[in-house]
Amino acid sequence: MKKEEQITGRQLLTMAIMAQLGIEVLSLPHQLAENAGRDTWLSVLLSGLTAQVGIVLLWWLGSRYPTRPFYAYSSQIVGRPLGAFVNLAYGCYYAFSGFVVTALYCNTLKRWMFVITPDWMILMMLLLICGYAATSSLKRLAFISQSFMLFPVICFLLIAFSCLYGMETRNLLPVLSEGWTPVMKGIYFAFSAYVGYDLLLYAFPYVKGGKRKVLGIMSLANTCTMLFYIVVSLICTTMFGQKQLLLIPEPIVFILKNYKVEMLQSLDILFLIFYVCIVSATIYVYFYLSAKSFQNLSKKGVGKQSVWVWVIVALCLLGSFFIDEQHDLTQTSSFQDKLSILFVVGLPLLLLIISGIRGTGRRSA
Amino acid sequence: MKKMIAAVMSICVLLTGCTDQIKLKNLLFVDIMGLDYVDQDKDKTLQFSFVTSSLNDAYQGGGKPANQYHEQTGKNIYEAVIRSNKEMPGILSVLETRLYIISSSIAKDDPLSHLHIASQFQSNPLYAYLAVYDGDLSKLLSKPKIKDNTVSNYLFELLEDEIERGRIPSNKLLNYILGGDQFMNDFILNRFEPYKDEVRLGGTALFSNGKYTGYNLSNEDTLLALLMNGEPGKLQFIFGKSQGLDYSIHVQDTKQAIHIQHSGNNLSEIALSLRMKVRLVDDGKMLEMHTKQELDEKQQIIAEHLTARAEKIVEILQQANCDYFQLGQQVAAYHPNLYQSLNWREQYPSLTVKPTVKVAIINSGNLE
Repeated sequence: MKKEEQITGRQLLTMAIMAQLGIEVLSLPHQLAENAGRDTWLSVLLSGLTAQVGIVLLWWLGSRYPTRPFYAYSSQIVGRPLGAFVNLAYGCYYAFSGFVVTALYCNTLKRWMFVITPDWMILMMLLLICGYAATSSLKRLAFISQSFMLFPVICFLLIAFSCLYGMETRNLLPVLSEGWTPVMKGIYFAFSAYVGYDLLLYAFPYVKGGKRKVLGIMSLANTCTMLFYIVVSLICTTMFGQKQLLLIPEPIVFILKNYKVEMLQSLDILFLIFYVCIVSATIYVYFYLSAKSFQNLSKKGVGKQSVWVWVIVALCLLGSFFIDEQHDLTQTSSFQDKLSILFVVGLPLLLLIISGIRGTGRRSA
Repeated sequence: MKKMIAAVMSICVLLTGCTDQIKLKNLLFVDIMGLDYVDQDKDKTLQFSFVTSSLNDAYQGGGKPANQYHEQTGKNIYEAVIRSNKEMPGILSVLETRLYIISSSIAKDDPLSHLHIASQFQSNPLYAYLAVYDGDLSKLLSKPKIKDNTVSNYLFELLEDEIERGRIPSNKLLNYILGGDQFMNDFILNRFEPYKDEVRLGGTALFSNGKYTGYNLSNEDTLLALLMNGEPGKLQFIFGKSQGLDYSIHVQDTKQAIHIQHSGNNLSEIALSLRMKVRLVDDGKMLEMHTKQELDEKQQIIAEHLTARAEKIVEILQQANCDYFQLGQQVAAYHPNLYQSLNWREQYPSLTVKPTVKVAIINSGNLE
């Protein structure tokens, strides 16, 4: 296996933000309206704080093995055969997550823009581009993410300034009218939007600077993502009624239709196209992590990274033929949300506990 | 080689949308969409009026805007568009629709249910304006020109100019369809009315729970209601006559507040206050200097007069059961327990709502 080059703290920051910001930005207020109602922003805030706890958890695990990535030390914690199984499971999870994000974004494009274009064609284009990027090194991926960083900033400004068209702040009141139960339900749904910070599992040993710096950068990335989501939730809740939010799957697209620019036909369509930069950053990180985990199935390394990536891309393309209806996609996405909690919170916590009990890590570090 | 692959992939991505291309020259852009019943008494088949816009003689630069009128019946807009496409060459596109006009008969009969479908259009400007017309809609929209303007430009610019000056509400379609962002779909909608052989803005129509109540506000009352509902001062012009004072003022700045007075679950009064900083443009005394005392007296007279007008507006709104000021939402937001104990829709018409208008004359325009 090739030795990974180190990345700077700033590069980790952009990669983490881009990996966290996925397709959820478009649909989060709609998904949460059903559960958290007008307290959507509160659920988003609390799930951001939950994600912060998750970051500390991954950082704690990583800091026990500061010179090796997760896939290299998983065998040390649970033994070789089980470690290989853990890596295999993570590989499948990341490949599946990449596929779900790709399918969701293509579905959005298909509904809003490319009604006649065959699904597989849009999907293939996106998969090829992301697959090609995923064959690169971590440092190169970080460079690409840095180049794309301008787009989330533009998207954020577009969404934030849409409040100039009128907000009804009373839509947010009364706070907690239904108690904490809906908000707690909302936390579960909102948490999936923060997934992506698990990049830390792999990137931890390759970041220049000390352990504390890594934690600080990841916390900053999570705070930026949290801010983005909270602003999106507040804008959508104040600009739409609850009934509307339940019916409109992508409220952000509807909000952007409000902009009147003489030289542009539809800013919302342009937004959706540019959003490919953010979505693809999430997808190629997933494919990259998946390929890396498959490569680490044995100590010597199994296969080449690029071969694994293209196999994953081919399987994703094949899988897309089996998901045809909106309902299937929704169910797959919901399943992926559950898997995320298992792989991003459950398994790392379990491994941390085992590592603590067995006392592995610290001595070898 | 890698660069080559990257270039091929980029081109592929850029070409993906070509499958969905529609030639611009084939499109018929619907500028205004009118909605009425064919014959309300017999059946409730909808009649859609499409006003499409095009630019004639554009090869010489500039071009002359022109409207084409087409009407069609159907259960919904989609059906009407599909039928129309079979009767005329070109593809009707709602990509650039700027105005939806509904007839008063449709407005009285759950109009929003017919308009929800607009959200299903792929690239429809959902922020097109919505208005009601108290007359023969097809007769209005089929006019080739009004005052040397195309009908679509005339109606749209009439609305847009007044909206920009803060004199009439900005009724955008998306505010009302799919459940609406209004608390109970109570709103005032801009109303066109026939005038001589043309058309003019005739105030607003009052809607309660998404339906036209038949009650209207005049242009003057609409402006005051708008200011009471939070419209900022944009030098709106208000005039009136009271206690021998014939006044004209420009509204410079406004501040609104709602105070709910209650004891337990008993709502005793809702106070609606509007404070305005105004310029006294005319009071019949243009060539004389005003003393401080005179101005104090005049602003008192104007405030009393406007308060009386505001009371009249509230009375009409309550008669129409139209909670335009969203008082229900105010109660629900700040006094949720009180709101739950009320049956807002039933009790709103009989609530004590007390408006007050306070006026401060900050200067007398450009003179003095």
